[in-house]
Amino acid sequence: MRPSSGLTSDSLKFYALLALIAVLIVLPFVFTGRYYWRILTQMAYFTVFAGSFALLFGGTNQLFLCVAALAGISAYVSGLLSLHFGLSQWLTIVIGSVMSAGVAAGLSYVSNVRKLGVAFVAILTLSFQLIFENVVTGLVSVTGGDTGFRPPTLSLGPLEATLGLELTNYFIAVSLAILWIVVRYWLLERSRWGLIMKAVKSEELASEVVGINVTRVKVIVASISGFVIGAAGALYGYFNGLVAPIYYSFASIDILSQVMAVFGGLASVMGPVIGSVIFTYINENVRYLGPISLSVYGAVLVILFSVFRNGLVSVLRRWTSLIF
Amino acid sequence: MVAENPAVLISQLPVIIVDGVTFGLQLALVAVGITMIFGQAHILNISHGEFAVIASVSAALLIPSIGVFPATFAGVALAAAFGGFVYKVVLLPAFRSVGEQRVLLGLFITLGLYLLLHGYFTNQFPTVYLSIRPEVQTITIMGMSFRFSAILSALISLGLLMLLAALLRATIIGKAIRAVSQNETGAEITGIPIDRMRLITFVLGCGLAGAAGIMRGLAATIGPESGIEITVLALLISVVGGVRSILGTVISGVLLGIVYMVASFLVGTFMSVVIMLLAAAVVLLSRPEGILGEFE
Repeated sequence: MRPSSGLTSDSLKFYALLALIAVLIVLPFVFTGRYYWRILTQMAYFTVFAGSFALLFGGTNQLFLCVAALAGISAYVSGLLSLHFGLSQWLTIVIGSVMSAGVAAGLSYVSNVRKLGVAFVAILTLSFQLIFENVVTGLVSVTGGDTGFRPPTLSLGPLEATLGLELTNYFIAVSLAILWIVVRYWLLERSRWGLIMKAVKSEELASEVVGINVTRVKVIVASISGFVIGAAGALYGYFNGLVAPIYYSFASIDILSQVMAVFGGLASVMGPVIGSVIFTYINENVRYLGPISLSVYGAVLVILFSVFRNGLVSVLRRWTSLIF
Repeated sequence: MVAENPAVLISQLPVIIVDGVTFGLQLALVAVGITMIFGQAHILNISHGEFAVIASVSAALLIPSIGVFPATFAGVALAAAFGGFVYKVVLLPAFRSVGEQRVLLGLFITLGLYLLLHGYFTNQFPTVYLSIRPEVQTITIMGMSFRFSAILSALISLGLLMLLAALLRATIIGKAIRAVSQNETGAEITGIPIDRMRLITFVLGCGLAGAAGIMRGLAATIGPESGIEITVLALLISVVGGVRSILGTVISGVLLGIVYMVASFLVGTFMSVVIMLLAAAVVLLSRPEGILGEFE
């Protein structure tokens, strides 16, 4: 903490966060029209995915390469339960998210008990992602295989009547995004969890010695992130109107959220959100390239990690500290 | 092929096992490269399977003009050369850092490289599949008829693996490579040029992955999108085999290859990947140091 001309970096962070939330709320009234609203909704979901990846990896050093699978588990569970048993979607979204949280907690617990290093957690979760993709593609009778299935449309009630379908979709997504921003802000900046995570990330053994239960911290962070990823994944499925392997593949969710999180900065609350905004814009502009855009992302990831390792936010922070 | 009748399984078992061993040896060729590169440079190469794709796609493109043998050798050489380029240029930032930081940087840079190559190959050559079919189609051993190409592919893969083992054991270069992976500082003190040993390992490992791609084209078919599956399966095999042990890698490759083929015969391709991954998980959870590996 370095007080400079009345504005501490803490309160600066707080106001920047408020501004960001305000921007998220105002955005659909600046960019109007169905096309923009769809893209903005997608962006809101990706701020959640990127934020979760950042919290897991930037917060507790758990490199989860299965964000898409966690999102997909909840989407499939929720969609299938609602489709076949007629349960309320909101109830099944909670059930699905709890399952994603359980899986994330399990993966985290196993990695910790087995003392797997970061690289091996990456392998473990990457193989889990592959298992997920193969299971949902292979179990054609349940999941509809490659083509997926259509979940029943989410009943939105009076909100939809006043705002219209697209805007309602956006505000559902953005409320989850804002909730997650606030929770992450509280976790990282306002509670002792921020310090605990910093300790765990920089020196596990020393944290154990001062009395932090490292396994518990990691498992708790993994289950919270898993739950939120699950909620976003299920809602994303209803938003798309289709739950299919292609939406929950490594290439379509993990890569983009990693690029967003790394570009924005893993250790910050705002970073992944800013990264999502910027890369949603870039994504729409490289769409015409078709499949080759994957190559573009590959190149971007290589460059980001080689040059920008600490993310955009740390660069911005350096600039603002020069100004104020 | 999904069969419910157990009698069919038993009568087909030798053929399935041969297919499994063949597949396992191919994956072991890829996994050995991953193991060696990780041991030398502490870089876990997520893009390693793409080198098999580089070799097989370029071989498939070259075969019509220059014939099977020159084309396959050119493919392998290209994969090896590209491996050298990746070491010298792409991974440069990773080698500037040490320890855990290098592992992470290496992981992400090779992840990006995988995306780049995968996007390039699936986009530029979406339909270029390598599938080499020798004129002799089947051979009969003890009354059972086996696919000749599968046997040939298994024998060549095994030969290459033995050649590699001999290289590491008996030659000066091999000894130097092993020295670097056992103790980097110690090796440097004795005057071993670490950078050159790493370069050799990279070129060798990527060449082996290229050879594995060709072998896959000989035993089955390999296309531009196969890279990631090869990488993940090979990663598992190298972890199961112990990240530092080459013999362990070969054993785990053959075992998991057999599991894969038997499962694929019984429950179909998609679920067989799942069963293989679960088998790997079970081994890993019961013996985290791998079959023959030492735990760091």
